[in-house]
Amino acid sequence: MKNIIGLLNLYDSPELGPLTENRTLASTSFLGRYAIMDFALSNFTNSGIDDFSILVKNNFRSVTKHVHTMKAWVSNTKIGKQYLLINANGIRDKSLNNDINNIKTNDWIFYESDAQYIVVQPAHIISQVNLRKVVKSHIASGADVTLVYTKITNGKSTFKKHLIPELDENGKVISLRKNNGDVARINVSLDTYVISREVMKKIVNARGNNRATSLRQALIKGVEDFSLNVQSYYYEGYVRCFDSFKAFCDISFELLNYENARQLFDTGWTAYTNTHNTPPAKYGENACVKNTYVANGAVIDGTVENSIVSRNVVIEKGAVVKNSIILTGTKVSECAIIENAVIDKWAFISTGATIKAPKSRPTYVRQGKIVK
Amino acid sequence: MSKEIVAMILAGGKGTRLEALTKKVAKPAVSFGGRYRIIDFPLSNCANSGITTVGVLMQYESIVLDQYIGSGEKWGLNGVRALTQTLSPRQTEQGMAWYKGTADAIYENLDFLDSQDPEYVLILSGDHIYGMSYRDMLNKHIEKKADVTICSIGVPLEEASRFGIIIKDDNDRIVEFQEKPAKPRSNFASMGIYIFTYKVLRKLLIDDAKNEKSSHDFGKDILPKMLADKKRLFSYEYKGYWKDVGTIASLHEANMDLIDSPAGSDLSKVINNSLYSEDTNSAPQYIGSNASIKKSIVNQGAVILGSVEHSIISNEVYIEEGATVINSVILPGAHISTGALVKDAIVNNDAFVGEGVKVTPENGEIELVSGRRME
Repeated sequence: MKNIIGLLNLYDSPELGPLTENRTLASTSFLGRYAIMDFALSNFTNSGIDDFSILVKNNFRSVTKHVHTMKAWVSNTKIGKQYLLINANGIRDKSLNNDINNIKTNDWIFYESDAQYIVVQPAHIISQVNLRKVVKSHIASGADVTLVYTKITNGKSTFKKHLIPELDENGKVISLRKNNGDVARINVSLDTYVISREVMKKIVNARGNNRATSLRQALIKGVEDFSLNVQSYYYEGYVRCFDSFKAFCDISFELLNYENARQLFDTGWTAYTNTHNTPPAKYGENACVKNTYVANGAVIDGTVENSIVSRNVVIEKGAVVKNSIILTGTKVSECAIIENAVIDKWAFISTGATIKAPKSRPTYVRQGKIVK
Repeated sequence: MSKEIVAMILAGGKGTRLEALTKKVAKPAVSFGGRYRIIDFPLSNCANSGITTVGVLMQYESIVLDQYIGSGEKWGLNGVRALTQTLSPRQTEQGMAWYKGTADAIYENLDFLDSQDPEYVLILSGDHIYGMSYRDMLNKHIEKKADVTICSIGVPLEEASRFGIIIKDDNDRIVEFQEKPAKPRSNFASMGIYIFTYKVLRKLLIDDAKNEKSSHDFGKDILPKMLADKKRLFSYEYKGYWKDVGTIASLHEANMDLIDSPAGSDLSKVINNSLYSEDTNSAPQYIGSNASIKKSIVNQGAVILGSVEHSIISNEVYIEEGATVINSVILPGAHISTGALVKDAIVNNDAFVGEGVKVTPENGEIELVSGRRME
């Protein structure tokens, strides 16, 4: 739809502990085959939005490497425009590196395009929001901003610091506060908004005290001082929030339950990703694999249970991997034992090495590490 | 802009011996190795040989094949100086005609070749499994100042009578052909891969088109005529894995070779380093809690809840708990129900094998399962 510009906002990304030390949450590997941001990007694709850009806060390399030319998420490769947006001032002065400044620096939206609606999504929330429907609802209500929310029952342990909208009987947002984890049953914002062009212009061009330091803050302020008409859109469907290393592990492992996985993969809402021309997975005569996701390029001749095996991972004969996530290119040598661990990319687990942790607290092995 | 070399892939054949596998798709588009299609091999070979202009000649059931070839992007053959052109029979000022033979197919597209202005033309088949750089062969062609260079492979002498056999002198110049000879005098079989000097080829094809007695075939007409005319025919010997997958049994065998080829072997190198293909937007491959899987190759998008041994499982295949697949090739989208046993078979795209169905051909045969099999 030419009338809409999508923005994938990486500024709201929480940290995933050691996994995001040198990469963005957005580009962190997920289920052996995806990067976490694939799901938000696929929401643009499945909603027919070909004009979209990524607001990159840091770790530019890691984002570029995954999205490449972004054609993996584009329907019409000619008409749509896709950009990686960085805030050059924010690199010099970190205090200036926020999403609003980034949009301001890259205000091509307001010159190059006459799109009337800007759809913002975060990378760290996996959902299947039909953004087209949200825009429709936004137009119908005449709102300045439409905020997508869902209902959760585990607000004490997830969606921390996310916005909790209080709604009037017509669905208008009358207050916004941050989830501090004190209530389990809450309505929670998915950090997904439709913002009308002129409203976005006002937000990014505001000066002095009126200037917010993030879109979230701009919304809180706008609702507080009645300067923004913020309406809500209720989304009911698969949704998970990556907000910690533990959440990353939990979300990955819960999808090993095939019924859970169907909620994400059997909905006709395709998850697109950049692919790597890797051959199919190969299993040897000693392989014993149960309840596991295996990506292409993997070569398995050992025992693997309740785990996620990513692209080009090698698991040799006699090795045992349980309840673990093994990222791209890692080699697990003969007779090595790995239990309850996340092994980052290109690690080398030597013959007979043992990596074990309690199930409740998976351990982490950093990228490229040689474990003897 | 003139080009050094243009590849023309003959992909129009029906592949009758592949039975229902080629009911709606041309043989080169038949699925292979869990993720590939047969034509990925010559196209990837072209890409890896630095050949940027490729014509794909199609005739029989061309929709799937044509769609698959697309812009050539899957093999990187869509770059700034590249061109991937599908060539189907067409109506012209002279009228219209189906391709009457391999040579006629090229003859009908001389205008395309003229527009590319190549020095050399590489003729390829769309139905062979092998990984080869054509660069060496071209170098030899140039060095020998050959009119045509034919790629050959050494075969066991006892099998030589199944092939077109090349007899050459010490200088690799071809002195005689034997077509499927009862008493072969050499074990060099033609692989159906030719590099022609385009000027020579162009004239030969125009002459051949006028010859009403010709069957317009490279092997039967063009090459013997060249030999008779004392043209410079040379043989280039290819050493490595090569298989013509013309029958259900040979297609099955080539798939099984993929499983059995050890790391570092010729075929394994081709698959792991340089075979390009389509990447389906599949979900991750899932292996269930009660599944068992050994000595097999499994593509993304497959769901395996049953038992799989020595088999190739393609994308979007679903194998229920309690189903057993042994020594078989399961093509994309097929479903194997609980209690079923599939052994020594190829299960066609989107086929459905019902509960408790036994597919167990005897006497070492390979059975093809298509559509719905409920008993």
